[in-house]
Amino acid sequence: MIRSITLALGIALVAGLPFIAGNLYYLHIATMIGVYWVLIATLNLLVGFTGTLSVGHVGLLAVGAYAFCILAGTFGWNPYLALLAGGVICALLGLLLGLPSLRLPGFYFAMLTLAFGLIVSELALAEQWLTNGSVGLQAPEFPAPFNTPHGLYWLVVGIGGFITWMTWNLARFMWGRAMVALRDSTVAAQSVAVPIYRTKLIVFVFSGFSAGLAGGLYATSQSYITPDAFVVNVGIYFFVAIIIGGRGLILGPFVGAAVLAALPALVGPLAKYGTFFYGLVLLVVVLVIPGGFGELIGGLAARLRQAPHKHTSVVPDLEKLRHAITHAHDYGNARAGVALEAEKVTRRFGGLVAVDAVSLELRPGEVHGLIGPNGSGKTTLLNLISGYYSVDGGAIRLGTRELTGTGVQPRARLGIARTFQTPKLVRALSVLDNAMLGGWPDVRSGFMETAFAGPRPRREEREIRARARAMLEGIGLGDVLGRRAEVLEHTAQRFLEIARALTMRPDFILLDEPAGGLTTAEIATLGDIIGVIRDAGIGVLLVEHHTDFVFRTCDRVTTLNLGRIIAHGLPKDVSRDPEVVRVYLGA
Amino acid sequence: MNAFPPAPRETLLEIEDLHVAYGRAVVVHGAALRVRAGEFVTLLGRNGAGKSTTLHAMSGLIGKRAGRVRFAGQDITQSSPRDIVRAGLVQVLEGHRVFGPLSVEDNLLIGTYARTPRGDRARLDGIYALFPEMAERRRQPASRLSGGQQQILAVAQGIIAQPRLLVLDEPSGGLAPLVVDRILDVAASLCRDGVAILLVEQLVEKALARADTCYLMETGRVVHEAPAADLLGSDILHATYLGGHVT
Amino acid sequence: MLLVIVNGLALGGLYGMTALVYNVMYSTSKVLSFGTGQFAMVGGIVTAFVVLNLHLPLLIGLAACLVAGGLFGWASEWIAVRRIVAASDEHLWVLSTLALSTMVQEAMGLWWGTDPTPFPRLIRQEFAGAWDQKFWFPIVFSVVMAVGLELFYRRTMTGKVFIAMSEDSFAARARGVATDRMRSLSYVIAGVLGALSGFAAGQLTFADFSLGIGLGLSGFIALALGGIGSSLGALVGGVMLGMMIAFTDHYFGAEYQKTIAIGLLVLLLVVRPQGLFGTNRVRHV
Repeated sequence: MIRSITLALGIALVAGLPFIAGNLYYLHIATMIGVYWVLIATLNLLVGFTGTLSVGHVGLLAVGAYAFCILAGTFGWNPYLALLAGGVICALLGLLLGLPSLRLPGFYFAMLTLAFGLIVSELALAEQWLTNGSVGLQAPEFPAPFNTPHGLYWLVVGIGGFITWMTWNLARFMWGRAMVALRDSTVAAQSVAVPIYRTKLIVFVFSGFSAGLAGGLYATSQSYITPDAFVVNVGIYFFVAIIIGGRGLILGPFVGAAVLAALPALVGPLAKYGTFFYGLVLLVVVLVIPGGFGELIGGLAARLRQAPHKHTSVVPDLEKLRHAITHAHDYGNARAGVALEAEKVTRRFGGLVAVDAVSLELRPGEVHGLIGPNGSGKTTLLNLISGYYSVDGGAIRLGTRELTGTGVQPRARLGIARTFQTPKLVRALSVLDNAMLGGWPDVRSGFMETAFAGPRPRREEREIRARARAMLEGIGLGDVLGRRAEVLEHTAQRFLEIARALTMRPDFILLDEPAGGLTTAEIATLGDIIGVIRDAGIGVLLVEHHTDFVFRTCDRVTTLNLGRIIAHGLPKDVSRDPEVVRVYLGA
Repeated sequence: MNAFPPAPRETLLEIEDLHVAYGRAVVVHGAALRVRAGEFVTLLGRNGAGKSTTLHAMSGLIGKRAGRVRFAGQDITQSSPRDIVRAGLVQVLEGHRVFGPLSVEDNLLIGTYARTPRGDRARLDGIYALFPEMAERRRQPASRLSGGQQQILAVAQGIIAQPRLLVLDEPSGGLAPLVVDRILDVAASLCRDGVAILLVEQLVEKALARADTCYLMETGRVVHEAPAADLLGSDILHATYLGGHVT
Repeated sequence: MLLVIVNGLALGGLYGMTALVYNVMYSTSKVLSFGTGQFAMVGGIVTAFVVLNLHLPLLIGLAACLVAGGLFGWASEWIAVRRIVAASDEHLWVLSTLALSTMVQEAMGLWWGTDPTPFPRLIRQEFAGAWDQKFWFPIVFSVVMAVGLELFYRRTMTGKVFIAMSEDSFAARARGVATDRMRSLSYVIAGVLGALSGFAAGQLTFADFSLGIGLGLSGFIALALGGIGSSLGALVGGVMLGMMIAFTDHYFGAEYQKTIAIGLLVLLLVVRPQGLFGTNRVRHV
């Protein structure tokens, strides 16, 4: 209620500004803020959400501006069409830049975009036949009623509002969680099948499109453009706006954008110190509050809400959990009897053979223990099965389906979930959001469909939310759904990871030392949970050092030493195997 | 095993009430142990019990939440890793971590670096006498050695640093039994020459066969201390590693 | 034609030196600093200021240039890297070094002015052409610098410690290496070398406050071409880029320099992301 009143007031204020401002100069500044906002709102998705730093976005702004002036001015196109064309051109340029570089470490991408920013102004100067060189180009106006300062303001506000709505939709549905996940924990994002490279690329292309629109609007509101308006330093402004506003907030950067656009105009004499000042602000924010003010305030609020701090033990409701798992997926009929199989897999690291021709079969509805001393290759084997490492020999199969050459995400989509030795959670997201990430393999809504908040993303959101909530309540985290994952206790983090894996409705779940750091009582609880998972029909691979726990919990146990299987069979036999006793006690 | 129980010796290393956390996960809570001069101590326990974390915190490589570490009469709780090495507390990390691009000889010289910033070539001969295969490969980059040779090089790097206490963190990890015996025998012979040894090892019986004293760690605490000879073949060990809990 | 080649080699020398400076900082910190090109800018302007404005001898100019570079390098590590390297978040060091680089550039622009100023002649010379010192200084300095760095890495204990840190910083610390101090030292060395490259190539680039960003980019392309961590690669990558730019300049005009450079970079990223001489695995994703 309060939120909708605030929203209505905000809209009224923004729409009515021309009547309040009185002064046309102030209105111009407000228009410029709107223009920058069109760019910053989507750049924020790229920088703030996916954590990808595009330094040369100003180059896209310039291309959009020139495209608009040239198409609508020189060639006499319809201005709306020209504006749109500018956006499309920039989206294509984004694709061109992103394709080769977004797979590589972030610095490569930052450098490539910087280079792009530099060449745009270089070419704008050089290609005089097109851009009129340093003299610049006259920008055409939009047709009435958008040809007055007031009209233009409303046009900009309209487009800005629309873009904001789109980014808001992207942020609140599953795509938003996926973006933050690949920023905070690439490994976790992969494990729930988020395509890292493709997501970054899509977001970059989208932000390219809106930067192109912003360029056209920029040109028309300045009415004249020259190459020196698009120096790379302008890019710093954008960063500062986003970094101050904080990552992961949709409206956060707006404050920064407003201040930045207004400042040079309002304090003219100090303008020449502007860039230095922005550099300083950027440095201070990065050093002191790396998450930005937005995250700072959000974090403080979260901390206040959860006080008083007390040790909470996680108490699962096994019946509820059983129900949640079987409700999420009909395990009775699903791929009945199909096993996950590693056949004679080998993996070398340099001269070391970490896993040496190991075969292992994980059947649905069984708990398979994998034990062995340190360095025996257990986690390596788990990484081979889940796709984080590629095999040097042998094969991984799901039934008759060959998985050997595929990556992590396709395997996650096929129902292979896992947890990690140290829990990999998305620390900035809530407990519920983290669990919901497990619903990603079920998301069919595309990026644009989500941006327009179509019926499908809404329905998927509802379903996944309900499923994740049921899992969390079953596993004992129902009281802390809204808490940020990073403030959870260690045990709760472990259980949250299991809940996320279960939300994937997996056929197989690989647990990497889930008992690590748990108390004896908590290990017993874990055993109960694993029992429920197995009884539902899911195959569990349990990598563990607590051998007693493994022998108690598992149906079958495999023991590795020096990368090879030394014992395999029923727990009671393996635990008495002289070779196992020997490697554990080192005779 | 020493035939005669050693006379009481001065305490070289003393850890009291050590607490270490990674982020919010407290991994070590209240660990305590003591190593006397010239003593061979082994620290045993399941993986994840907090052994390596204890060693890293003791050497100043990671932060401590609480607790005190004394070495050779000095409080080194807040000292830098460099000063700790210079004081003679030298740790060989788990997992044969040598410097791949550097030659074997340069790796050894890095071992002397803390005390002799220009590298102490005079000590090389002693090491080569101890490990002749290192002499043969002195010019080869360490990355070209096998896993076992790399571990020997890592231990040699520790020995050349002139430790008063040499800490070995799972020297056996992923290695063939012969190499393990070799390394542990060298440690035992160093010990006879007066260097104290603190060994974390998963090959329990190999470790106990050479140690004077044994500490057992479980879930971040030291739960048991006994002469190594008493533990060999005892139920406590079997319980710790293969089932049940030490009470 | 000779002139074009010599010009290409000279530019290549400058880019190669910048790539070497990247390597020095990268070895101890795994940070590719956005401010790498700014060392040369500062070195060039300080020399020009001491020699042209204060009318002091060239040697004093050189000394001031090196001192300024060293100080700047030290400050970069202390301000923009030390606190962040622990967090190991790539996002943050890109931003912090970018911010510091921008500040330094703007500060120099405000103090020195924004117009490129001719750099003093280093030795007396009566002629122009391919034998002009403005070409030979960067070429000779780059080779000397690469050879010097290789000797440093192979022959001195400090150089070996740098390599050890670049391989495994945690293990180096366990061996008693004061990693913070070493990182700081590497940045000072990088600053000095970077300033020296600005001194050597000053007659080519002029004393120009806006030199740094573009040079940082070109140096990075040279680095990416040659492969991170390789001195020979840095030189070869620098020369390849320099030659390409010189020839484009000659045949198509100076305005396409950066377009060619970026084209080369894109091509490289597609074909061989680890660079010609690189062994580093750059793929983290």
